[in-house]
Amino acid sequence: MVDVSVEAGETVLDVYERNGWGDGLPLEAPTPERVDAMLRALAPVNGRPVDPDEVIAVLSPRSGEATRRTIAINAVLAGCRPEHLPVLISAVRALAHPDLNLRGVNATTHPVAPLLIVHGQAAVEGGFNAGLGAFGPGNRANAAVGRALRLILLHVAGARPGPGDASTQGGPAKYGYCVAENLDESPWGGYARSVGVDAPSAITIHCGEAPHNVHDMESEEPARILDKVASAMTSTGQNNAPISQGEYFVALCPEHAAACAADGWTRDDVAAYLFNQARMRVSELKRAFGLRAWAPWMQRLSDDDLVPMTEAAANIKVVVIGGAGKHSSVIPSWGMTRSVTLPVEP
Amino acid sequence: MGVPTVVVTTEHFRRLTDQVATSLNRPDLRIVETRHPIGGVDEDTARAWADEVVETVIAALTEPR
Repeated sequence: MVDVSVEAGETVLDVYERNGWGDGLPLEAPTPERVDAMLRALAPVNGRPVDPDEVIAVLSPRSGEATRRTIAINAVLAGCRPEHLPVLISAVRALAHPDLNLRGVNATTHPVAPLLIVHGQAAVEGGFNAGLGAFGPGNRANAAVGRALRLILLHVAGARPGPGDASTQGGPAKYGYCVAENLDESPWGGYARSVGVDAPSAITIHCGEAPHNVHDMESEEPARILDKVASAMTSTGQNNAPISQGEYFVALCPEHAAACAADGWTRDDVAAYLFNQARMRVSELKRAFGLRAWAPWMQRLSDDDLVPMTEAAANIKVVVIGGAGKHSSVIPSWGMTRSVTLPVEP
Repeated sequence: MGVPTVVVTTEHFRRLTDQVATSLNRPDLRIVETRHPIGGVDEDTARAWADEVVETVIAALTEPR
């Protein structure tokens, strides 16, 4: 516990700033009472209370140890409610998963931010917004949990711009980047189950860019909608262009998803179609990049061939997010990272 | 003892390099700075910049600490 003194004329935000804490915005005071209330809300595991000081993850670059207590402190700072804590703890486990490569995520000059997607019961019970305006603003759960995850990166992982985060420009997604899957309007069931996580509540973290909009107001044919998605995916400005292992998250709005499903397209059909359509001429990419971290079979293609923007259809992850209207989005990857989906556990 | 090691970083990423070295329990890691940015420079320039620091790298690898 740290006792903080507020000097004459200072606001609480001034104190945080003076100590190098926070993201620049006002924060709740993490008093012991508030932190304890958060921790008390955690469900027992196998009939036993969970240990608040167990190390959940060691986070790069500072090798900071995240415990349930330090996670709860940041949850209070960001304005989370107690029922959000298991989501946040699970998200921290995902950050430390080797596939995610957090050291690289924080050390790169790319503006990558971990996108946290909440699936299932935890999204409903926590009041997360999966519908209109899901990426924000205006919903406490999405805003506070996304922000808490960033505060954990700043305070525990040491990902402060300069010594711990080398992003050239940073980005708005680095303030908070949390959304819920719109399971009620997904014609293909839940995303987590589609990647083998069959739990009532789950989370996914994808380390990528901010969403790139895809607009189609007029089409009912899946191909006509998805050709626009493919267009948003085919850009030499994205890391996916020179790094073929990179994933894409395609956040289809319910109306675009329904149009695909009405024509009998499955989630895998959508990914397979995008894999075939989101391609560029090899010669164009060779002009753009001298160094290409491509799969060997892609390196052997001829200049006139079309090369996909990612090396496998399975790297195109389709999830339904949002409300009424016909705007979807593409979330390109940083590249040298894999998304991680885990069950929500305290 | 062990294998003498030097990390070469660019001047703009020195603080990040220091933090990673500290977090990995190597606060005394020998770190040599070179010019920034390396990305996008031609080979002749890269070689010229390497020449500028090569003596420093050799000294860091061979001189007792």
